[in-house]
Amino acid sequence: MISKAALATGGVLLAAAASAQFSAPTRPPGAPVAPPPVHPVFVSPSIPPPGEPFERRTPTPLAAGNPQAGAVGADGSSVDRIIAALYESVSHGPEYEPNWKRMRNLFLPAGRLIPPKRPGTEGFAVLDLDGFQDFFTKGTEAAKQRGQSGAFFENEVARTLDCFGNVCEAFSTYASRRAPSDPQPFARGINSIQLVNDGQRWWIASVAWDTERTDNSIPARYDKK
Amino acid sequence: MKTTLSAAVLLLAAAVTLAQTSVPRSAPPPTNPDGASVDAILNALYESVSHPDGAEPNWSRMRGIFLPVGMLIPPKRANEDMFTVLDVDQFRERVQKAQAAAKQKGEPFGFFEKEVARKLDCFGNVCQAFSTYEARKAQADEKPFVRGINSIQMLNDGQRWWVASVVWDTERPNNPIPAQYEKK
Repeated sequence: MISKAALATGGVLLAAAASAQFSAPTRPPGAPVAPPPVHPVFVSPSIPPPGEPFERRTPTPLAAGNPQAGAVGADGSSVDRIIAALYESVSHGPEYEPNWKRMRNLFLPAGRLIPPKRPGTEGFAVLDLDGFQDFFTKGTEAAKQRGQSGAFFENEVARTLDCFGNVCEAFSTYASRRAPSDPQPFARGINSIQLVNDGQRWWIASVAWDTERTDNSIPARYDKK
Repeated sequence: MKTTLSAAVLLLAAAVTLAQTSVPRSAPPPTNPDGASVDAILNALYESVSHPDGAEPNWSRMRGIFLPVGMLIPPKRANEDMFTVLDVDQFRERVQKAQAAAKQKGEPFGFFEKEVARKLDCFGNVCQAFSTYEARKAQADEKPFVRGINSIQMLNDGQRWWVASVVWDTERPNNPIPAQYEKK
């Protein structure tokens, strides 16, 4: 879902955040007491404490001139369409950023993204779309600082899909490139994507992923379309 | 040296920004045996939600299975505009409300849910299970009163497994469980 470099940056950031700020969430009166703060998880501020309702965030306007004006309304019409829209919306050329408005429309208001936990960090980063936008933008900035292209093209190379009624889960193998014409991806991995249908359209509930590493190669059965 | 320094400054500046916007949550210690394996955590999920008439699910055990922001998404009811997304505490309130309603009607509210089949996909620290379940009011009931499939997303933090999200749907006359999800 995002470059290794971006993740490394995220890891450092989260570790720094861990030491910089730690406080238990406030709970409504009479609510059960939370377990002791031993294993922190970092949560986007817009994901409310337990017991409070989720609210849909105002979409961020697209950067002027962004050519990715996808048909947002049709993105939820099928599992194929919504998964394609996920990959299309996160991909962008060097002078652009992901199509955040389109991407936001794919997720339930409470939808989340969970990047791989980096070694040295204490817990997973559980991100809503605002959190992911921060996380992704910082990764792109870090890549540019290192003299790399800020472009990002992710495409699906294989998919295992299980569906029942209004629920689907996809195990979606991806490859990421800095330019669509790059012969080799700079990162590969698998997105676990949970999808729900409200009777009108599909929504993404959760995306969690891991990256391919020397000691974690993509099994052959997840490597072909 | 200069490059290292400026990189460090950048990271620090970014870290300060994130520290201001990131809210840590607490979770149980990572030594929970329920997180030892995917088998263990899925068994714990079914065991903790099951309870005899007059009792409740084992909420502290269930809390120890989920990431602190882990979510449960029940099937959308016909009168709801949007899915209800619950954490374990909100799920508890929902179950207690249902129990109170059953009690008022004089109905038993025992609940025994078990897994009857599982399709598992794993890669690195991420697994997803398509876990077929059946639920009974009493363990001895010959037939379940409801069946369905749980989609369960799980993560490993290097120490243990956590449930990140459980989404499910129920079997209905127009939504039978496909044969490939019927066998263990």
